[in-house]
This record gives sequence, structure tokens and C-alpha cells, in this order.
Amino acid sequence: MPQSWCTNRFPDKKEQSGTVYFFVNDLKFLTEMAKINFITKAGVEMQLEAASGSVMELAVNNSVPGIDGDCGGVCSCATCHVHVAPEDWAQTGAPGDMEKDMLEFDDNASEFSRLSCQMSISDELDGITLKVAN
Amino acid sequence: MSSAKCPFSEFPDPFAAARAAEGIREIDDQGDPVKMVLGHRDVRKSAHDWRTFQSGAKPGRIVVPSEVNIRDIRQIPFETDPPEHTEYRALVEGWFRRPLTESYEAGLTNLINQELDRAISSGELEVVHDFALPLQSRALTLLLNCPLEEAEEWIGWGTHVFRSDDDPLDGDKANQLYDYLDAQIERASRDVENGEDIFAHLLRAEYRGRKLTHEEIKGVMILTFAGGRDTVINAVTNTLAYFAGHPEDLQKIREQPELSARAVEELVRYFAPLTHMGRVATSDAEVSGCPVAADSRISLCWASANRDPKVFEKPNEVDIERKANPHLSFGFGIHKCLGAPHARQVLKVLITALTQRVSSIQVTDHQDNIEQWGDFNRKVGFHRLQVKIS
Repeated sequence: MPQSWCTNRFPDKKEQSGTVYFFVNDLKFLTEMAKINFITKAGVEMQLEAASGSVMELAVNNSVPGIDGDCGGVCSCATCHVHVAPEDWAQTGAPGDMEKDMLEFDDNASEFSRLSCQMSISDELDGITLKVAN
Repeated sequence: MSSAKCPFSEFPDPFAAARAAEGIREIDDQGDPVKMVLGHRDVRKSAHDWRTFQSGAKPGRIVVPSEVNIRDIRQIPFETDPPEHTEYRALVEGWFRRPLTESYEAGLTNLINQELDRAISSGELEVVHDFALPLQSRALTLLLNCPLEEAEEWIGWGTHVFRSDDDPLDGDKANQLYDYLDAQIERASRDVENGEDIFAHLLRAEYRGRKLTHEEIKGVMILTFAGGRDTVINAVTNTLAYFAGHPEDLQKIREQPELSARAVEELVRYFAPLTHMGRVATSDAEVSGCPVAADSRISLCWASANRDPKVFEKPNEVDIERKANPHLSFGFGIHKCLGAPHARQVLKVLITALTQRVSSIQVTDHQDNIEQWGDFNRKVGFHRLQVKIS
């Protein structure tokens, strides 16, 4: 596992200044984990938990096959493509414009496609199921 | 981000006007013209449509400038289309993802720290030939999993395997590489079972129920040597030039090491070490409202797509914190760069080493490497970059 995934786990924290915020977020880390279910191309189910970071980072940290995250999460490589279970689509929401662009010419794309590097983990994602596209 | 103009760390976008106007521009190349596709969406669309815009044309023809006159051997999987491409790529994909392992990163860190310490102890050096070329060559021994000493011969070949200083298409230089590869395949074939380098890996590989031929193995290796040479050398050299002009960005990464991955992507977007790559139309087609005749060439201009203001805010500024960055520097679609994990790791390790070991880089002299594509003049890197480093 490349070191970057470890150092990268909380990339946005520094932008939200204030020690109180960190403290509150650390408490959330202990209390509000989101459970996310991955189903790989081979049909293997993996249930993983995290409180922050992106879905791609969670998958890469736990070696989910088919999610590589080569670009580190800047929406450039499309190696973190997932299909959201239709019943969970309201929870994840639709892709942003750039994300939509990168999915437009992907043969595996469906109406429920997302790039998981663009999905931030929060308790709103608790319980969703994602099928790995590649 | 700094708006201060710096004569060596600026890489202007020569395509802006043509991209906004017609979105496509024809240039000549040895009598086999190329329509350069310039917009981000058109480039992605054409790259995705491999049935209409093929890679499996006559060997050398999808490269610009065309290499048809100096090369008969097909580069694999690069110059093939599905279904062959899919099967060839599967044979090498895993090998080219080894750069993501911890041990590979550790080896690369060790190697790049040594190169940097050598540079710092000499205090002054020419970056292209005395730093980027040896670094690229020695890093390639990790990708090939071969002895470090092999790099000495490659360093002797210079910065590009098909080009010499006075000839962009030098057949003699190509023969030097071919002879070397023949000898290496011959050497590896003496102990296929126990060999641990890429040659042994390829000799063991099964393609459609048979072993790869000598010619196919050579095709993979020519791609490996040619594709990752001047591109990586330019990326490394340009990175040093950029941080010489923008020490505040290096300081920012020093304070927030987690920015290094985004910085790599942003620098790769901005530099676009490979300007464009060609395809050959298999039937009459249309790109950006412009007809493309069957058996004529287009090129996918990654460098132009990366500055498309429809996609990137402030496209001509480097923002090492850019969060969404769908650049096309490593290509797009089924042919996207096989060496990308290696290249990304080289740059990430280099930037980290710079933050830890270097306090100052000063450019004392430089000679830009300007490519000419029709009326477009594009700075892709440097012929020479003289620096003081401490």
C-alpha cells in the first residue's frame, strides 16, 4: 500500500481551521462511522467502515479489487468507478459536472455511476451498497 | 499559486485561439497530414472511439512525427486495437502496477535521494543531462526489475531513443535500442523459469494459448523505453524549473505533505509531457464539425485539452491544491498510459525529496525546448537547464 493513502486520509482538515472543530470531528470519528458495502466484479462482498475521507480512499486502504485510485482522488484517472445500488441513489446524489464528463465515455457507465473519489464519507452514506465497475 | 511571471517556469498554451475557434487544426507531417483535435470533450470522445480512430495502423503511423520510415516493429499493446489489445494489455498491466507497492516506493526513494544528494554536493548542474536523464534511467531499472548498472548504457543513449540533437527521426539511434533488446531477450531466454526481470516475465507470458514471439516482446520493450524516456525527463526537469520559480509552492508542500499527490497531478496537467498522440480513421468520420477522411490521421492533443477553459478554472495557472483535475496527460480510454503509476511515483517521491533536502534552486541559464506543430510553437521542456542547488 503506498504511503500516500495513509498521509492522504484527511486531506481537507487543515482547511477547516479551529481546534474546536478538530475536537468535534475526532469525537465523530469515534461515534459516527458510516458502513459501506462493496461488491466486487467477482461478486465478493466487503463491508467497510470509516468516518471521513473519500469512498475511494476507504476502498484503496482496504484493497478492494477494481478500485485503484491512481490519481489520488482528483477525478482524473477513472480507476475508482462504482455503480450505486439504485435504492441508495438518493443518499449518494448525482455526479458533479467534471465527474459526469469523465464518465461520459466510459463503456461501463450506467445511470447510477459515480467516481468514488468524489464521494465524501459522512453518516449520510451509512448502509449504501456500491458495485465496483471494473 | 503565484501570478508572478517567471521566464523559465511558464509553459504557455499555444492552442487557445484555435481550440476556441474551430477546435481542430491540420498540420503537415512528412506528407501524411494530421488533424489535431484540441478540445477536452472532443479529445475524450475520439480517444474513446477506438473503432473509428484506430491504433493498430501501420507501425509508427500513430506517432507524430510519424515513425513509419524508421520502424517496422509494432509497439505492444500501444499499436493494437481490441480484442488483441485487451489480451496484450492484460499480460503487462500487473507488472506496470508494481510501482504502487511499498517496496517499490522505498527503492525509488532511496534512488532519488542519492541523485539529489549528488546534485546538492556538486552545487551547480545542468538538469536535463546531469540529473533528469540519469534519474529516469536508474528509475527504469526498478520498473524492469533489472540490475542498476544497466542504466549506465541507457544513459549513454541520450534523452530520446528515436531522436538525436540534429535529427528528429534517427534510424541509427533506433537500431542501437533494437540491438540491445535482441541481446537482452536472448540473455533472458537462457533462464526463463528463474528470471525476475521484465524480459523473463514476457518470455513466460501466454498469449492466446502460445508464448509471445521475439518480435512481440521487442514491441513491448520498445514501447517501455520510448514511451517513458523524454516524457519523464521533461516532467522531472520541468518540476525543478517550476519550484525554482515558485519556492512558495514547495514550502506549502513542506508544511502539508498530503498535498503532494495533488501537486503531481497539477504539474502533470500543466506540463503535459507528451503533446499529442495520433490515430488513423478507419472510415469517413467527423470531429468537431470537421470531416476526417478514411485512412487519414487525427491527433489527440492532450496538451491543449488540459488548458480547456470549459473544464479547468484558470487553466494557465498552476494550483497545486486543485481538487478536481481531469487532465489528459496520461491519455484517456483503453490506451491510457501503462507507465503512469511509475511516472506518478517518480514525481511524488521527487517532490517529497525536494521538500526534505533542498532549500534553494536557482536557474542560472536555460534553453527552452520548443516543439513546432504547423503554426503552433509549444514549449515542452528544456534543452538545457542550468541551476544552482543547495
